[in-house]
Amino acid sequence: MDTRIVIVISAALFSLLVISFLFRFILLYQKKTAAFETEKRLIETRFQQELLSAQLEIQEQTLEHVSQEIHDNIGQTLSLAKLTLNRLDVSNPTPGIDHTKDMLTKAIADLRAVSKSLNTGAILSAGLLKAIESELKQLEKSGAYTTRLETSETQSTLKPQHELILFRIVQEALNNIIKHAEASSVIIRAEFRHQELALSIADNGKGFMPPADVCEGNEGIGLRNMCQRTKLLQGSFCVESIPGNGTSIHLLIPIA
Amino acid sequence: MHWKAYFSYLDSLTPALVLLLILILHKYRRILWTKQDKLLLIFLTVQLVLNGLAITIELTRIFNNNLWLYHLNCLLTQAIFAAYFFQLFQDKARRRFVLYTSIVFLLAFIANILFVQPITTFNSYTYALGAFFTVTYGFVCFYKWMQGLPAFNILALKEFWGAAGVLFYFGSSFFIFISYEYLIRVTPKTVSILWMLHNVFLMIACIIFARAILAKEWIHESSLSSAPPYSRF
Repeated sequence: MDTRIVIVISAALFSLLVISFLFRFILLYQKKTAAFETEKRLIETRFQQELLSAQLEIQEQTLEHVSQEIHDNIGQTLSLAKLTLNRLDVSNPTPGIDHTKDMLTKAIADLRAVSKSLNTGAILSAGLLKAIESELKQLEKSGAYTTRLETSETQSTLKPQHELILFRIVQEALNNIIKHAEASSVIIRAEFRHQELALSIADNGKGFMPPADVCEGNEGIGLRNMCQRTKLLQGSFCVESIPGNGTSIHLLIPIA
Repeated sequence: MHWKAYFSYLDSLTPALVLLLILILHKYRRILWTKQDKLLLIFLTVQLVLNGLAITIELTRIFNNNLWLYHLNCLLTQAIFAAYFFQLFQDKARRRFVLYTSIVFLLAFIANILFVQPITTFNSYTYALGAFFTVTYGFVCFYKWMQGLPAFNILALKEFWGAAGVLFYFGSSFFIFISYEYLIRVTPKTVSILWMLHNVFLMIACIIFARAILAKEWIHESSLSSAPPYSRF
């Protein structure tokens, strides 16, 4: 073969070697940046979850403190007031005293219920379904709602912390129903499936147009809180609502 | 004119065209030039002037020999790229490496002229040594980037194209410089084909350098040493 052709081929091979090195570098670099980006996102997600978890913990501590205050101080004061009323001279009854006594009895009962619903320990010891049932009973007592709790035959236990978060989500949903829905019926379904819990809260109220991104949008702070709490449990959150046709909130929570 | 003659002019024609393109674009697009860009512009100018002068001497026969221009070209090219990588490297160890290799090159350059390849012959050995050192700088640079990830998109960086051009030109030409003496001795006819290949490599390198100068992103100085990835101006 002509020496010149050999030289050209050799030089071409040499430059191809350099070019292939550059291509290899670019590919490896892109692979590494992609891995770095994934890791960065993972760290960010973990940080967000930890932050949310810390916020919830602080919130629970605050609620517990409020609950104790209601039970120990305000409740006690009201009980004392009732006791004082009972000791009044019955031979000389003042008009309205009986009515005041009834009102105080109701106030004490209501305060106890509120205290119980805020108390983390009470919720944890009763269990999620019992706690939800108690909330629905409270709702029914108002006389404005009919409620129903439907559960699957098989039931699994969740981690206490997860049960508490789920209970807070249900409370938030019920709060939204009371404040905005103008509903007369509330149905909560808790279905324990294989390795997941499907929870839904449905009402027959006026409904609304849910925002496109429930979790990130500025509309509906309550909805956003519920969604973020669901994320904390690695679950999925979805809102179904049409104006005039009620609202349903669906949660799917993995049971690990 | 024979088609081969065009290849002989490529080493001065390409830098001229690339410089012209950059100057036109600079006028209309207000491109910001970094220190590295200025060094690449100096390299292109040196190639244009010295290669153009070498062709002129060859055609007009003003001097008997134009090979002293290649000695000068080799020295200036090495100085330019040593400065280029010295600016690019921020840590002392790598800067010291550039400094020491530059001193070694300078000593080898003088020794080569005095004892091996005088000024009237082509200095293939110092070209090969210079190419070897410059390619090493390029590899060190790529290795550091792989560790430090200076940008999300490396292809957008001026420095990447600069180092890629260096690696391509000196990496490909190294073969020519190292085999030059042997081939000249065995088959003297091959000189022209060697120069044609060199000029093609230089042409491609000039285009890559133009891409480097026209790129809009560059690395923040501190991101080359210990700063977190993707930090830049």
